[in-house]
Amino acid sequence: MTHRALAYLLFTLLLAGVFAWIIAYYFSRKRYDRVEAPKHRMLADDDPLPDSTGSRREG
Amino acid sequence: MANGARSDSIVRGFALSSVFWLLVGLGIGLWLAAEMIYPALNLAPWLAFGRLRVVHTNGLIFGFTLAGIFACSFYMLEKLTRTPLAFPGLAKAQLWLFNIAIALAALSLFAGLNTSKEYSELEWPLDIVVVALWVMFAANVMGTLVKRREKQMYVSLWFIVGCVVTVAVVYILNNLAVPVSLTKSYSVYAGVNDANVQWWFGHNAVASVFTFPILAMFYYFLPKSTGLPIYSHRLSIIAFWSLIFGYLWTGAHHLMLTPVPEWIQTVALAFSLFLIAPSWASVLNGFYTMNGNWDKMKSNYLVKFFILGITFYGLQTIQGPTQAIRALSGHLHFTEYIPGHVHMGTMGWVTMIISASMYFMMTKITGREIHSVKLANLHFWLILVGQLMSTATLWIAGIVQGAMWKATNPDGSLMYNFLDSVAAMYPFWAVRLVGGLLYFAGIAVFAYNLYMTSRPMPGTESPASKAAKFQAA
Repeated sequence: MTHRALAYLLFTLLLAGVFAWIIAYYFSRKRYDRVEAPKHRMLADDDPLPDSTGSRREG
Repeated sequence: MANGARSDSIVRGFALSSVFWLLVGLGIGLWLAAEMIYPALNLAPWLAFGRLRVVHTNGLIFGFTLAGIFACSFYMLEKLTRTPLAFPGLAKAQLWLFNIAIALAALSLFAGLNTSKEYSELEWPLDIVVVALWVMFAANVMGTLVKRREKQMYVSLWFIVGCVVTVAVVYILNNLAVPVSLTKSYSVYAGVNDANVQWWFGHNAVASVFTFPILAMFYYFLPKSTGLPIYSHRLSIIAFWSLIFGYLWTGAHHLMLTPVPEWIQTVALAFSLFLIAPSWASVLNGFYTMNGNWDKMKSNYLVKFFILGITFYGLQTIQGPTQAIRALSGHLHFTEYIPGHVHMGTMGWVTMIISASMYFMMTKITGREIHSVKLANLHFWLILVGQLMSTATLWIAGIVQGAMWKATNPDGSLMYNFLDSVAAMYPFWAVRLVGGLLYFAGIAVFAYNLYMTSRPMPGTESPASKAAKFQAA
């Protein structure tokens, strides 16, 4: 196996590892409530937005 | 409902621009469908099929769809981050520059200025304008996200970010060219590499324009218009990352059985089949969201659009990967089946979701009910029937066409010559034209209904101006 082929293989494995980690992270039982929370919050009535020229933007 | 969005006029501007370019693009599409049956309609060089076809595709991809994406993205960004757009002045400038660029693009393509790379036909000066437009859009998306008051990002925001990043990468890399004059350039890639990069771009344009932002709309506007939370947020996030992981490797499935190295074709085929899973994760997420509430299909005029839209997305994402299988690709590629496939995605999935999203946004922006629910329902049925007539006819036509090209006599000679296969298409093309007319009628109804809904009524005040007055007090 050439160095280039080995590099491709390692990169592919790295991507697959990151992908597996993302799935494990989001499907972890202990994070269930936190991960699902945005779907309820997006349904709440839209807050009035602060003035675009104001400074109240951090949160 | 309190609503203090500062970008309402920008959203309205992009929404109406989108509908305008939709009407133009579809009108040209109808002319093209008629030219297939009456070649005499190629009246002048600028009306020739070869030139009109690229105005049709570019007008609908970049004019209609991108304007719809800008409108909905700005609206969703402000709502989901609970933060005003970071650079509203830049968004306004983007609206003007966008319409000027699309008009110039249409004129240049009518004039025959064309790089010959599919969906990437614009010559280099317009490419630079497109990149400038995208930088303006990205600045607002990223700037607003950085300043957001809502810490956790809802899945629609992830899809918008996916769109911003992937369009930038694939568009710039595929359009790298050496200009030789103001109106002519040559690609920096050559031969099979050029083809590979071109379809890496071509298929990811499908991902970044026709999939990510449209899924963002689906995940936002279906819950908002039904009051039902999406079935599983974590499943939607996994669907997003899986699409990101898989999509970028699939472009070479447009080049099956070509001189492109076989391993690249196989990788593209494998990832194409892999994509069925995340695509259907979104489809099932949508269906499960409606669980126990299917009566809303009757009582809520928007739900039909979203559910039929996601259904067509599901069918599209079964059809696409199966077309990548070598044996099927060998039979179907270059036949009418392929435009049939593309048109189910664009006329079914993309247009249905954007239409319904615009109805929803416009009623919120104006603070009024839709002008006519009856017209919205008429719009739905006309585009549904028109789309099915057009696409199902083209699928059948493609299967017939492929079979005729490959049919052999017992002695091994071809059973049909090419002209036989062309003549066999005429009845199919006629049905496609009728379907297109119905579809266009549906979109005309949509344009009228949306425009009437968007008009400021004397004596009424938009929610945005009410909120501004409230804050000033």
